[in-house]
Amino acid sequence: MADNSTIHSIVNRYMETKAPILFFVLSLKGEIVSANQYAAQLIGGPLAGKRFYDVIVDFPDEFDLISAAGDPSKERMITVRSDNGSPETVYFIFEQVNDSILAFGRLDTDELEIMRKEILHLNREQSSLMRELHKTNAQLTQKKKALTQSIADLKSAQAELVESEKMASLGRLVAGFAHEINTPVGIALTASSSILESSEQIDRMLLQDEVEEEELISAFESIRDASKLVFSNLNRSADLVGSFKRTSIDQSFESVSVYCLNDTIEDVFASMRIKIKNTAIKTMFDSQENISLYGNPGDIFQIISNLFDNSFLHGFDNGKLGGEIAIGVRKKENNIVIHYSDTGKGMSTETAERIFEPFYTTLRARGGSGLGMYICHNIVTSRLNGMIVCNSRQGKGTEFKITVPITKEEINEADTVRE
Amino acid sequence: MITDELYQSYFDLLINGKKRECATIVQDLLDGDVDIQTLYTDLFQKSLYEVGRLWEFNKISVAKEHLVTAISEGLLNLVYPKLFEKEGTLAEKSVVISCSSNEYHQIGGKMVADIFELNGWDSHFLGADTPVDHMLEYIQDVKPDLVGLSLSVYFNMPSLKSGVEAVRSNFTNTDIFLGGQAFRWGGLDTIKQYRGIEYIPTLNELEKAIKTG
Repeated sequence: MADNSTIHSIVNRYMETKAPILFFVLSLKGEIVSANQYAAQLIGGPLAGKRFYDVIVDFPDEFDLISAAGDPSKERMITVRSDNGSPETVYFIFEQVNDSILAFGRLDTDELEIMRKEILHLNREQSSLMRELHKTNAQLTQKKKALTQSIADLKSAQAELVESEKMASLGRLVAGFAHEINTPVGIALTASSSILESSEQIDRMLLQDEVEEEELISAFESIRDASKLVFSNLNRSADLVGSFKRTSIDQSFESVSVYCLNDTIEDVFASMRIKIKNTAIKTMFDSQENISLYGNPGDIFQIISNLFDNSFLHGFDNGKLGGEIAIGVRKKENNIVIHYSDTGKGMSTETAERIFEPFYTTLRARGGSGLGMYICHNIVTSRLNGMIVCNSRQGKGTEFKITVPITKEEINEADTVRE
Repeated sequence: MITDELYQSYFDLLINGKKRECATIVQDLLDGDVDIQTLYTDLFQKSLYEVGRLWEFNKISVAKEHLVTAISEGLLNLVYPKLFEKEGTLAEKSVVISCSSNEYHQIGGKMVADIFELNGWDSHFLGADTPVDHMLEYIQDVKPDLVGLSLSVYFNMPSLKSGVEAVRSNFTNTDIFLGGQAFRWGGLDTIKQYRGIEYIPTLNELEKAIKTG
C-alpha cells in the first residue's frame, strides 16, 4: 500500500487531467468526495456529494463497492449515465486507500476507434451519395427538358394535323357542293339551249309569208316552260352558292356574327344530300323555334357534318345500311341543346369512351385520322364553352347531346326579334 | 484566375480547417465561371498533394489530413451543379471508377470521375474501400467502356493487384487505367504485366488522354 503523500500526488495529477479517464475519490459508503474534470464533463457535474451508485445505470443496488475494492486487479465494466443522453460503458478498477476508495475508469478505446472509422466511412459514403444525387438530379432535369420539348413538338404537330383535317373537311365540302350544283346548272343549261332552239324556230317562222298560229304559240310555250326551268334551277344554284359561301367562308375565317342555327343545320343536310341520295338513310330535323346563335356558324356546321360523316361511315357502314339520322334542337333554360342520333350499328363501350381522344380511330387502315370527333369536342368545349356527351350501344345506334350556353349577344338578338 | 496569392490564402484557410472561408473562395471562382478542370488541378489537386506531402514529413497529424480531405470533398459538392448540369445529348461512353478494397482515400478517384463527366462521359464512382466482388457486379451491370482504379496508399498495392486481376479475367475486353499517389513509390511494373492497362499520373494527363481518345 502506498504512503499518503504518494497517493495525494497521484490523486492530484489525475484530478486535473482532461484525458478520457474517469477518476473518483469515494467514501467507503460510496459517496463521491471528488471527481476529475473528464468525469464531470462526461457524466455532468458537479459530482461531489452525489452517491457513486446514482451514476451507475445497470443494477446499482447489486453493486458492492467494498468487495470491488477488495480486488483492484479486476477490471469491471460499468455503464454510467452521461450528460449527452446516451449511457457510456466504462471499465473501472477500485482500490481502497485508507478511508477512501479510488475509482479509475477508462472508455473502451477499441470501440471508440471502430466508431471513428465508422463515422469516417459514413462521411465518405454521404459525400459519394451527394455526388450521385447531383448527377441524378441533373439527368432528371435534362430528361424533363427533353420531355417538355417533345410535348411541345407533339402539341404543335397535333395542331397542324387538326388544321389540315379542317382543310380536308373544307375540301370534302367543296366537292359535295360542286356535285350538288351540277344538277340545277345542267338543267338550266339544257333549258336555255331549248329556249335558243325555240327562238331560232320563231325567227324562221317570222321570215315566212305565212305563220301557223298554233306553231307560234307552241314555240312560245316551249320558251316559257324552259325559262321557268332556267329560273327555278338558277335560283336553286344561287341558294346553293349562298349556302356554300356561308359555310365555307365561316369555316375558313374566324367571322363572328348572329346566325340562325336552323339554317346552318339545313345547310349541313343540303351538303350531305348527295352523299345519302342513293342509300336507305333518311334524315329528320326537328326544331321548335328559330334559334339565333352568336359566333361562327362554321363551328356548328363542322360539328354536325363531322357527326353526320361518322354516322354515314361507321354507323351505316359507308351507306350500305339504312336507317335514320335525326337532329332535334331545343332551348332549355339558358342553354341550347342539340340532340343528334342515328339508328346505325353503334359502338363498343371502349370506342364510345375513347371517341373524343385525338387520333383514336377504328378505321386507321382505311385512312381515318381519328381527329374528327376530337375537333368536335374541342369546338364544343373550347369555343362554344359547352359540353358534348356520347351514348352508344352496339346494334342500337349512337346519340350525342350537345349543350351550349346562350350568350349575352344571343339574348339581345332574341329581344330585338321580339320587339 | 487562380493566382499564387489566391491559392496560398485558400491553402492557409484549408489547413486551419476554415471550411466556410474556403467555400467562399470556391463559390466566388465558380460565380466567375472558372474553368472546372483548372479549379480541380490548380486548387483542389495542388492543395491535397501539398497536405499529403506535409503528412508524409510528419508536419501535420493524420487527423488534420482527414479534416482537409473532408473539407475538400465538401467543396466538390459546390462544383457539382455546374459539373452535371451541362447541356447536350446523353453521354455515349461510360466509365466506372473505384478505389480498391482497404483504400479509404477516395477524393482522387472522385475527382477523376468528375473530369470524365466534364468531358462528356457518364461516370460511375463506387467510392472508398470497394470490395472486389461488389465492383465486378457493378461493372457487369453498367458494362462501361473503361474501368479506373485509384490507389493512394502504397501498402494497399496487393489489393489493387487483386482488383486488376479480377477485372482483367472477368472482362477481358474492358480497358483499365490506374491512377493515384501510391504509384510514386513504384508498383507499376508488376501491375503492367496485365494486358490493356494504362497508368495516368495527373488530372491534366487524364484530360489529354480523354480528348485524344
